Amino acid sequence: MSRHALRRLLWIVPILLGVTIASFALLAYVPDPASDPAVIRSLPREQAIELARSRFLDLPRFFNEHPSDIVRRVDASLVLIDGDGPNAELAQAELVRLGGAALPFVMARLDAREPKSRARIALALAPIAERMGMAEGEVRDAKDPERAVAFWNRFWSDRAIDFRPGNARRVVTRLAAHRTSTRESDLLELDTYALEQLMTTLAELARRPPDDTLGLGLLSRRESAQRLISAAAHVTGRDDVMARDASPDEQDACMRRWQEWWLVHHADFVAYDGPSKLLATLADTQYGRWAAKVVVLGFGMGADGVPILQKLKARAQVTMRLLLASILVAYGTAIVLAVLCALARRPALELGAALASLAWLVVPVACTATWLSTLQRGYAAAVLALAAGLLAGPFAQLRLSLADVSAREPMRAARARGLAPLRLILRHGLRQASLPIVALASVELPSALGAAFVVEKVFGISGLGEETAHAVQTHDVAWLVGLALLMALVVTLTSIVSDLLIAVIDPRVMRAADRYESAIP
Amino acid sequence: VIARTLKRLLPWRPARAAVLVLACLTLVGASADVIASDLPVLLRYRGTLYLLPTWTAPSLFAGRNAEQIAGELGGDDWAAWPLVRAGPRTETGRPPFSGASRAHPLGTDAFGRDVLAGLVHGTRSSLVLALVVSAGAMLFGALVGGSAAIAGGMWDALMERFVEVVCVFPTVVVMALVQALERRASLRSLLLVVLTVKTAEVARLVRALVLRCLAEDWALAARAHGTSPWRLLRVQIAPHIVGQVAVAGALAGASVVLTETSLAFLELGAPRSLASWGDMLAQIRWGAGAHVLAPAIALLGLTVGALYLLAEGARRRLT
Repeated sequence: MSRHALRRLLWIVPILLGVTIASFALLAYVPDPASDPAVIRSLPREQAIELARSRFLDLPRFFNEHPSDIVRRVDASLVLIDGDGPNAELAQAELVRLGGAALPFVMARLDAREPKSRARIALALAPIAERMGMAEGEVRDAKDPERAVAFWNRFWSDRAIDFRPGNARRVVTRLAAHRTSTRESDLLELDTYALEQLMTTLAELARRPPDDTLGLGLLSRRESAQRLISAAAHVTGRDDVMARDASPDEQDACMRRWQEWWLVHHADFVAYDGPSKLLATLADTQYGRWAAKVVVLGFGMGADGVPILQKLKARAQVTMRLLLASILVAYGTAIVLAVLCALARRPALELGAALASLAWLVVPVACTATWLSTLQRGYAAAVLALAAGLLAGPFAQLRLSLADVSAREPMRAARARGLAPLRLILRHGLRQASLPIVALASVELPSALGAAFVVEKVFGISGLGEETAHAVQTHDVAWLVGLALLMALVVTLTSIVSDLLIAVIDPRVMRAADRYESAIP
Repeated sequence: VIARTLKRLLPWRPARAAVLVLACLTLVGASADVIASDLPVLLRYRGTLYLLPTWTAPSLFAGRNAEQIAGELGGDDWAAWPLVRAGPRTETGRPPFSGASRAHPLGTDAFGRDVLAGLVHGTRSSLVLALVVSAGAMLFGALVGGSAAIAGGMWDALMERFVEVVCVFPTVVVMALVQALERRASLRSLLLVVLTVKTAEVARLVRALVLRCLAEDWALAARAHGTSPWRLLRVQIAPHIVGQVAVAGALAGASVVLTETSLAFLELGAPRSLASWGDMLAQIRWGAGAHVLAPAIALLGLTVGALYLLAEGARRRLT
């Protein structure tokens, strides 16, 4: 039994993988504004690239043979700068954007080049020196074609030791936890090299509650985040800083935006080594990034700027409670009705019950709910309306399987022994007969959701349905995907519970599966 | 000859009645343009004779209703009009939800459109949807579920995962997503989504039932006797499970229309240009009375009931 349960639980992983792939495949058909040529042409070049990148359009769908990290980017821009062609200026800008994180690789490649190209590359680095906040004389050196190479060589022989992960971590932690301003200059000097550490710390900070602090507790969470973000904004040139009087919600939103940005751009500032390169072949794809966004950022923002996860939590509670109550009521009623039918045991009644349950089934929930709401409004009436909509399916199945079970030997034997019909059905029949409806109950949930939306609308309950209708009108795909994934998760868990329940009710099912697996080669 | 073949195939009388009902509904759907249309059935116009101009010359009177067309007819022209002189989407100019009259035997709906026209034209799309989903879900579901239970091993695991992945998505949410993405709502996407979901549901049911049958002593005896598992499934297990599978299939047929109703009621997705029972049922949103809803519910009930009786007939014949 426990083996079966464990195996069943392990199957969650491939199911969720399948679910995410299915949602992603569905999303691949979204007419993306970023892929519309008219929109792209109307934007400046940088913005168009940025838009495409933020939607991962620069990446392959499922497999990236050559994941591009900072080393590849540095190499590409160095070649272009060397060539001095029409794209050299763009490559220079790119090198400046990569910034301090690129220095270890640029400096390592500088010596191997001929003096002319060395000077060109060193000159291209000048804006970085400016951004690092160096003294005026030094900046002048960096801008001087004659002295730029010597300047950067000097710089590197002095400071190469600072460009190490350990140092970056120390500097960033100090910046986030202490109130001294000297640390800020240390950080400036590392430029984008510190970005990875900045973002790691920021993510850690974002996970904490708003009144928590980092390290010694000298700075509040807001102050720490503010310092980290302003440092990041300085080195990246992104104009998104946290205001001094930001509310907790605004703080979270700002941190979230930065996390989202880092998700898109982290490969620009990080070098891949063996294992991470292997991982990047899968992670640096449209699907990988999309899944990472779902996991790390919780589906992202809705069209109205409220995080999807937050909205989902609030709305799902309402709908799930309504659904659960109705399913309990509906299945309870179905069991009672089916037992009554089985007790009567008349062919005419059987057919009548079958047709009645079908007739009941074809009346749309919208109609029953509306009629019921004219009689009575309120939560109980909503539960009843939804239960009425869910009743027909389990009743029909249960009635049939009860009829099937009562024709079998054990039941006939028990009946021959003189067991009272009601007792017979409750003790022996129902257990066997409940197998199909237990299986049905777990698949019922997603289809019942539609009925729940209708009932919510009729009774004015603001649950998932209201938000979904709104999302469809505003084309808020993020909400719809979030909802689909949430429901997928819930249903996966309930279906596992129902599978285990089936194994408990009738262990032969499980054994039959095992036996047939081993019996058939 | 047809009657005799039917009698041999379906010895149970209600099942034959069900076939008759379905045939009638099909006939109604097929002849929707003869029963209700903006254009005449037979028309002589400026010296040319048109049979069913809706199909043969759709551009001739594009955008004009029956009254305007009647006004344009000259002295030599004549027309044989259908029972109701309004298409399913034509707004007749009468107040919404007006009762039965000579021109509109079943009254008008929320937009002042003829109810009868909507019903007969809706029969065309809804009946096809219901029948295709019902038959498809039973066929594919039995194939997938049965083969998974019998073959076991890798195939079983794979099919079960497929079924689970499909089953976990709520139909309404997926339809909402699809319709939010699509520029024009189409019946095809509805059909595909509902069919896939229902196939998975039926497959799940079939697999559970077959596994249960395999655990029975008679199945074990048959296996010991040397019966191949596929033959066991076809000859001995199938009659045991066909009843429940047929119920599931009939329910699947209803669910496509009901899903459509829910979608229209919740205002998810764009309004369709095609009339359907689902659209009609969703008019309860505007407070439609029984004269709009009851015929649609009755027709849906007839279809599903007929499907069910047909399935029951098949079961009786097999066992």
